Amino acid sequence: MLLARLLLGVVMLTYAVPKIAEPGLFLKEVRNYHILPEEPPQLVNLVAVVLPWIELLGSLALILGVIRRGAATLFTGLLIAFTVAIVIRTMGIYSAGDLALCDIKFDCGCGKGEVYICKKVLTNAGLILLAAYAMISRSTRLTLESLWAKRPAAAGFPTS
Amino acid sequence: MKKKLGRTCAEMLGLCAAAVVVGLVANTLNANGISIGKNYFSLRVVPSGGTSAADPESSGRTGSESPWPEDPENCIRLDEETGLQMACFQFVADQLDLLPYSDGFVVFVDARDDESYAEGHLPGALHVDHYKQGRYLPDALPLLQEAGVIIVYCSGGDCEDSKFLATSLVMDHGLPLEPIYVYAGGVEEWKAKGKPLREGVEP
Repeated sequence: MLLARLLLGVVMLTYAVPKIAEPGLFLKEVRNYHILPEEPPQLVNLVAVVLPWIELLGSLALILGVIRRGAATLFTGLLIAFTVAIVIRTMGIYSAGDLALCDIKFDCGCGKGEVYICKKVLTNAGLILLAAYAMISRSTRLTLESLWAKRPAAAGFPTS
Repeated sequence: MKKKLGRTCAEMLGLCAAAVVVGLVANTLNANGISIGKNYFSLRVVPSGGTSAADPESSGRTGSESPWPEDPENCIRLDEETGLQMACFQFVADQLDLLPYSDGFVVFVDARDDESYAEGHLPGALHVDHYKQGRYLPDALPLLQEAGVIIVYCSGGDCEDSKFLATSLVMDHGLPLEPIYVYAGGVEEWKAKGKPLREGVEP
C-alpha cells in the first residue's frame, strides 16, 4: 500500500504542476473534449483552474498520508472519468480518419503534451488500479494520520 | 461501514473545497492565470452598431462558400460562420514583402503559446498569446489600434486560436473589424511554402 500510495501521488503531482503553471493551455485541452458547455464560460474556466489543484492537493494528501482514503477515492473516480473521455475522443478521431488506433496521438490534457493514446490508456488503467488499491487498503504505514494517532498522551495531547 | 463512507465523502468534499479556494487565489496571483468570466472560444463577431459582420450587405463584401477566388491578388474571403476575413497565403506573403514592418501599417500577430512563438514565428510578428492577453495586449494594443492591416495567425490545421484572438480583439478590445485578417494556413503552411521563420523574441 505504501508504494502504491507514493507512486500514485508522485505521478499525479507531475501531471498537476504543468497545468497549474499554464492554465490557458489546459483550458484549451479541456475545451477540445467538447464535454462542458462553452456558455456561460465560467464553468469550463473554473474546471481548468480547479482540476489541477484537486490533483496537486490530492497528490500531497497521498504522499503525506493524510485524508488518504478520500484522496484515493477521488483519484479513482477522476481517472476513470478521464480515461472514458480520452477513449471517446480517440474513437471519434479513429472513425473520422485513416489512422490506426494506436497511431493516434494528441494532447490529452494530462500535462505531458501530445501522447500516443494506446499507451496513455494503459498507463491510466495502471493508475486506476493503484488508486483503487490505495482506496481499500487499511495500511497506515508512514502516514501523518498514524503519527498523529501515536502522539504521546503524557505530552498533554488529547487522545480521543 | 456507514461511518467510513461518510468520512471518505467528507474527505473528498474537503479536498475539492480546498482546491476551489486555493485554485482561485493561485489563478489570481498567477501572471499566466485565466480570466474566469471570459469566453476564450467566442467566434461570433458583431461590430459596434449591432450589425453582424457576417451579413454581406452590411460588410460590403460578398459572402462566399467557395474557396479562394481565382484572382490571387484578392484572395480574401468572408467566413460566414464567424464574420472574420480569411486571408490566403499569397495575400500574407505579399503584405510581408511589400510593406516594411517598421512602417507600423501592417502588423502580424502570433496567437500561439510562448514556446511555439520562440521556436519560430513570421518575421516581425507581435506575440499575443490568446490565453495570456492580459500579459501581452497592453504593449501590443497601441500598435494594433494604429495599424491598417492586422494579420492574425496560429499553427494552422485545426488551430482556432487565431480566430478566437481576432474575435476577441474586436469584441473585447474595440478594434474595428475591417483591418483584421485571419491567416488560416498558419505556420504550417508558411513553412510548407518554404518561407522563413524567425526564432526567439522580437526586439
